[in-house]
Amino acid sequence: MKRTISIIGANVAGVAAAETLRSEGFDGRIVLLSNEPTLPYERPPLSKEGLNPGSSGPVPLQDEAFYSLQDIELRTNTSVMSIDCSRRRLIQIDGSELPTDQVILCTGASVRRLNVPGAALEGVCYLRTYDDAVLLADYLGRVEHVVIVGMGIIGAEVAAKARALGCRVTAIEASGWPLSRALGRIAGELLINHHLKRGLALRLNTCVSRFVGEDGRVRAVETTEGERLPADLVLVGVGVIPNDVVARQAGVAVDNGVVIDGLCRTSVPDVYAAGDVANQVDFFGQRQRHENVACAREQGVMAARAILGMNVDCRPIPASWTDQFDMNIQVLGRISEGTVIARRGEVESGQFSLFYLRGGILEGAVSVNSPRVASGARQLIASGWRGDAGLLSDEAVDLRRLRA
Amino acid sequence: MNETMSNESPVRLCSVHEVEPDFPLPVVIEGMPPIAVYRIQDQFYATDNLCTHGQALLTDGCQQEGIIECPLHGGAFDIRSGQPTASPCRVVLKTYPVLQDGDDLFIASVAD
Repeated sequence: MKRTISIIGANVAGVAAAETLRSEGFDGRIVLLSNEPTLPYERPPLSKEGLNPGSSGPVPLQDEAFYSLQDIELRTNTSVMSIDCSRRRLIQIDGSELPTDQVILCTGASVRRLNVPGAALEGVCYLRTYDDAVLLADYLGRVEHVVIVGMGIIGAEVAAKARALGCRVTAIEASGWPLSRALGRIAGELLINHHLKRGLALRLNTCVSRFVGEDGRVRAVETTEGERLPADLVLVGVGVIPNDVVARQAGVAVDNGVVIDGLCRTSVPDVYAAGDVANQVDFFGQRQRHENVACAREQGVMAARAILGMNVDCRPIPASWTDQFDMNIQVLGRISEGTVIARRGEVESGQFSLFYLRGGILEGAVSVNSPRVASGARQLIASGWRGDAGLLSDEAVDLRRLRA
Repeated sequence: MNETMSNESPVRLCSVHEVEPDFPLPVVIEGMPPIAVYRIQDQFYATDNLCTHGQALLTDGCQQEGIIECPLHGGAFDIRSGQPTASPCRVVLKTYPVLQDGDDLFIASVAD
């Protein structure tokens, strides 16, 4: 009998795991299970180009031929209900069983939903899947008043798109520092100013108290400050929660996601995890659940290698980007307030980079419209670069030349 | 000059000394897409400079020997073949044959 490896979740982590199993020479059976109807697709474009009117279909991670060529059994529209570890079987929602020797949990995360009166009204939207993006794009083309709940990256990307389409947009944010969790305070403030200049109305330190509807459709948002904001469409972007139900049921240790070690192993033998659902110690020694594509992909690759007996620890370095207005912003490594910040370029110029150093070691960078700097910084962070912060600030220095 | 290029006039890219190992040179030629010129040891190569995935110039990225990494999303290509070697890059990068004549580097002008 050939060995079978099942991958639950056909997202970037799951597909990377399947690809890697094959590229590293695994000749057994690979079953890739997706609970969505389409070919596995890229999620980052969903909140960017994917919201443009008439956008055509999701961007596939691989074309259809890839899966047959690589002999990867892709099963779409398939939900796994549980793992029977003792009998080595996956139980699918229709009751059918799939014998499996090992499992990689790539079950991802789901949007955190608001639990306030009116939350079920039509026009209260979230953004995570391709279907979500289609619905949102359709609304954006025909509504006037848009309210964004949560000014993080997703909220800001949708706000930018809505303004570009001529909608009146108000964002409400629970904290006093919109975008700062993702970008740090300096870059967060810059980006918010761009939004404000382009007509975004912003309410800080404010939450939703309820949604007000008419004929089942949302019409207004009432805030905790007592304000009533007109709304034909609400986009809620208040984070995600890990999809850990299957893991829990299988007795896998869970603590803000599925807890995995450096080899992507869970607490249960032969069960591995990767991607947004996984909680792992990162490059900086911090245990956390990463919610970015770069880490998800790396964990997928490394889980596959580990399952094949390659003994290399996965210690992902976070990396993410956002494209808004005329700005490409890249966030690399760990950025934390209270670390030494070196700056290259003037913030006002719209083309600059910030470097975050701790104990003289470069840990993170935020780079705005400076891909070359970002590219150099990425390598320096990975190499644990320590040196004169003046070199980082000096625009005459090509960071790529500092690498060892 | 190479005979196979006889139908099209070769286009000058740059001088040999302008291209350092691991530091690709961006070259803009009228009527052509932006070009990246690479040196790997003592050999020279050319590809399109725009990443096939996102709107990025590969010459802003990091070259390590025969691999160029895109500066935006971490994808990468084999410089010699144009084959993607790291996701999210999937589409093959166009490569151009490079000719050396003394201190100068040329590619064939490409109609398509």
